[in-house]
Amino acid sequence: MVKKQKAWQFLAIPLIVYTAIIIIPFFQSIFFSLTNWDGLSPDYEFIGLANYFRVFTDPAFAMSLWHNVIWMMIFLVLPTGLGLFLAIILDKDIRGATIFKSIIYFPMIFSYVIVGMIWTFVYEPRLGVLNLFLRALGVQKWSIAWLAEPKTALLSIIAAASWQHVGLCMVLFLAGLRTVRTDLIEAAKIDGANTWQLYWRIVLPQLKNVTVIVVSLTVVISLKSFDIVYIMTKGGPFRKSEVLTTFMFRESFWNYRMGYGSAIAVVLFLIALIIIAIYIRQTIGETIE
Amino acid sequence: MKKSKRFIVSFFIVCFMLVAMFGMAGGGKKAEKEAPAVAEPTKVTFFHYFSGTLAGGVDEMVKVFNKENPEYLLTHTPVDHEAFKTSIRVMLAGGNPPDLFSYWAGARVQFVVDAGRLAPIDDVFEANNLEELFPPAVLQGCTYSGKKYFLPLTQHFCAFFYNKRIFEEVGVEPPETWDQFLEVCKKIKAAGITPISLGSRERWPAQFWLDYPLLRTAGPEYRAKLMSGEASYTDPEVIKAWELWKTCADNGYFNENPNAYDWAEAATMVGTGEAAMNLMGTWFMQLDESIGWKPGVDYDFFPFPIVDPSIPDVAVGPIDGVVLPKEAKTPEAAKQVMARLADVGPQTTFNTGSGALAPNKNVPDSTYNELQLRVKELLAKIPNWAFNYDLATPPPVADVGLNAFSKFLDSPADYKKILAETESLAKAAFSELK
Repeated sequence: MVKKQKAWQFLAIPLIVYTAIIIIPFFQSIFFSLTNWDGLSPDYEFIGLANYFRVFTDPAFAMSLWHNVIWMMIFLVLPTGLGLFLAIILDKDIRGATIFKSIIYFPMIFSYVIVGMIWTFVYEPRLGVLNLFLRALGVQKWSIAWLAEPKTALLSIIAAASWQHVGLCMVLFLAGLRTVRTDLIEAAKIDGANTWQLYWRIVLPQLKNVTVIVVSLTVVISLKSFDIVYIMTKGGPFRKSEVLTTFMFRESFWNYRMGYGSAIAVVLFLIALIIIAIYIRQTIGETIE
Repeated sequence: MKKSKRFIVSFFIVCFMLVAMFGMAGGGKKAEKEAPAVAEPTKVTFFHYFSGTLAGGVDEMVKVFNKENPEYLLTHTPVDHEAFKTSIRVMLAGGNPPDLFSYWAGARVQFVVDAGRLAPIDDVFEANNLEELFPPAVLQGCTYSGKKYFLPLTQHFCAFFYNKRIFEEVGVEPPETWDQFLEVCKKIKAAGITPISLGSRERWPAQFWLDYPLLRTAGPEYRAKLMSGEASYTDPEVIKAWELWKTCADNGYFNENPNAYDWAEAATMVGTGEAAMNLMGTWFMQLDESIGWKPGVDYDFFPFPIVDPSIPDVAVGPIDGVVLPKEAKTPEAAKQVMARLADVGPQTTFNTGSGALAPNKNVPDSTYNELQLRVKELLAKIPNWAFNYDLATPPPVADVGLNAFSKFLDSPADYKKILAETESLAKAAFSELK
């Protein structure tokens, strides 16, 4: 009893702060999503679920959602897979492993804004490193305006974001590999398991908890990505790299539709909630069984 | 149980103390204000977007103002153009606006006026005879729903800026008609130089390519109708104007990938001689130092060529200025500041080096360079003034149009499809406005 009270005493202040800056605005968003507020006028009207009907009929929403899905799929395969692969390789006592780990983790120290700026330079059509490289290789026709071309804009941004995300995945998997029970590995080796079997049957199942974390983080990061898109293309050219967050921002702040923007935010929240809830339930349920 | 009670009590004591402290701090400030002793200058905060390549002489203007008016302390916060649009909205909606902020005359000011967030400043105009200071086009941009809301600081004009050396080498003169213009482009292209540079990454630089062709073929009246939603983007007038633009795109007169560059990068292409001309506002001249060339010597300007001589001439450009939020903390002081900002002194310093014309007619000609003087002469002769696209049509509609412009630059052949799509989106956006 006393312990519980003590816990509440410690929690009181963070809880107040959290309520003020997260919980209240969260409910305000839901509230505004039911209005036609322009984000500027002192008055607004309740329009019920009209904003939500609009969300699901707006092709711009569907397109942004599709871009998020592409982002998530690529993120779940490329940086996550590569991170695991690198973690397994660098977990061994190879000479220089620490240096490689540091180099791969290095991009993590930059914010997405910096990553976006660096890669904007890399993609610059005339003098960017990428196009200079492609031209040096003699493939002139591949040296395109990466961020201005509707077909490549989104993928170019995802590539830049992946560059950073690999480091995070690798570090998390490295930490996970440290918790793998060595006695089980020894036992498997004695039983004559080959390397493939060793990883597939002994090591990976023990990484389940880390994988939950990595996948949840990856899903959240790919859904919340805003800054890197805003820095690199602002969702352009003509919305071809728009994701739900930039779409929400555009509608709320540029197009004076705060009500509609709030509805988009709520839907985005629900999407993230559902994906993560399903995933966590699935994996934690399995672990308990 | 006891412990938790003690905790709750102590928690409330701490809260009470905090409240008391803030209360006292507030009280202290009030007392200061009332003290008649040494008159402390009234603080006026000014939030604006004159920053980076568009800074002009705002620093000097504030300095001059504070020196000339010791009873006020004008403090200013410059913010990047794009960030400004968001932050000012948050400040206004949150009920905590600055005392003054910069804004773009036209549909954007109208929107904030309609939202009930601005205070009229008719009294400032009357008390200081400001109506006599500004030319009619500028005055029009100050008036919304019959009242004055806007104090103009700069007037920019959009025209073609061209590299004189290239024109000489190719042997062409600044064109006056559309046919001459196409001829000039053709010759420059044949000489292996990009005739026109365009950097529409931020979308807006492309808008002048709809503004001028439309105004030159359909005239200012029709264009006003289109901007207010009374005409359609699929009208033959718009299609015709768009086809002029398309002619330039189809002939390869623009640089490759306009959507990949910002306006300054495109303007610099003219400076380095990669391209011959650029359709841009007079803020083009703010790049003089970074390009390292001189107005009138290395580059010059010519107005957008005449397409149909029967259509009245019109000039396109933005007018920037200052507005007063309804919830300003020191509105009287802010109004005084506004009146002083209309004076020759601040108007001169602000526009020195910005490429703009000062709205105040009494600003001496010595402020201007050769090009600006000719712009001034020209504007005195042109009977009509029009705001550029994103200032002429309501912001949600402008977003639709600006997207259409970048789409067009990506695939000019689809222009009819793009226009049809623009019309349906624009109609939807208009129907939502109050």
